[in-house]
Amino acid sequence: MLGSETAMLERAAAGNEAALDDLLRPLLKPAYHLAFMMLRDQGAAEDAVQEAALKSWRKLSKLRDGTDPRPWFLGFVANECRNMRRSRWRSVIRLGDRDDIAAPDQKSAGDPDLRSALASLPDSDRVIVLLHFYLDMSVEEIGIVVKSRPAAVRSRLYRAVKRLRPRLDVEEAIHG
Amino acid sequence: MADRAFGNEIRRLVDGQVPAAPWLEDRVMAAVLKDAADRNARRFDGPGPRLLIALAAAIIAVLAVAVLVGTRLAYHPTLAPGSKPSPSRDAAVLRYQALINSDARPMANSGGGWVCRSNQQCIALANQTRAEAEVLLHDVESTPAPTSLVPAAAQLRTAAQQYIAGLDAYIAAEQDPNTNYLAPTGPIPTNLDIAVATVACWPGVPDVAGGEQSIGNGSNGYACTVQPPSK
Repeated sequence: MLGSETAMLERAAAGNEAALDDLLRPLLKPAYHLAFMMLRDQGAAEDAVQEAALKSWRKLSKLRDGTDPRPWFLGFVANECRNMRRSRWRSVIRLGDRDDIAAPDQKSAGDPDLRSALASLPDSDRVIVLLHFYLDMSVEEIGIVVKSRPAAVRSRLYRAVKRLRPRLDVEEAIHG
Repeated sequence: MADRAFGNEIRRLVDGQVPAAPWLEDRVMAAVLKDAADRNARRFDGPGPRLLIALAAAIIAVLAVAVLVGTRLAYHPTLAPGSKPSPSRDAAVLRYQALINSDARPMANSGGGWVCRSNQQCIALANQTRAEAEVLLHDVESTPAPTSLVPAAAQLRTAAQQYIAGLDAYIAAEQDPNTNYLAPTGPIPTNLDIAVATVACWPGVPDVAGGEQSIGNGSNGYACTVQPPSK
């Protein structure tokens, strides 16, 4: 299995269309969802995913054997989102934009208090919450994405969940 | 099963907000494959003009450094390579880096507080950032930079001036009562961020290609690439 993965990675790194498709395509949808929740803007989220895909394939030769490509790739996505958020004026406009033009069905999606609390989390905490609870990633995998130790990830996740749901049994909520 | 229930809540929330983008996968794959094809084509074409230009630039840079080092040694004939303390341990450099870092930190905070919903709010936010940038610029202009950081300080000064000018334009646009607060686009502080990182990373260099990364406390910044000490 490892041998075939290695061969696939090598082919993908060489620009083989089928190998690149096998490797990247399944990662794009979760990446887009993560990017949208970070940026609140469809165009920006699409751009972030595309830029992350380009950067990750250029560095594909550095992906070590046996490394799960999903957290590795989502790390590029998270980084792109941070870069875009860093251009704060864009995010000022986009955030205001989102609240004003959100469609009624989107506004009613989910608990509004939770939505608002999630939106008010710092980027670095929100990405961890989304990776854990939306993409079902373990704290170890999240550590790869955010370049942090699992213990630090767990601690930040704990704090973030406490802010989102003060009455929730946080220990029970955090898995893996 | 608080875990599952809370996870389901988050999933419902996200799925309810993210608009569908059925074209995205094809768009991204097309971009990646085009990039791959371009790179492969360049690889087979041999060194292109860009590579030659980069090579020439590298040779010129090496020659320039050699001339500078030679000139410096001529003025300080007793200075033997390796006898000088590492620049990173230079107290003046450390003090200057601490000053710039301290000035830049408020502006690097990208926590969840960037929302404004009216011209007045946007102006207030811009003014606050402008004041922070002014503090940085004032310190850059009034504090002599250590010799090794003079070029980086000049870069920082220019970037701060440009950023403040951009903020002024943004504020002026927001002050127009006929302007929707969402319409004006404020300046993007990328050059300022890189200039700050150039000072903060010295004697290393900021990893600009790697983009900004989380540096804790909700802040972002460039990672420093430490250059190996010359022998």
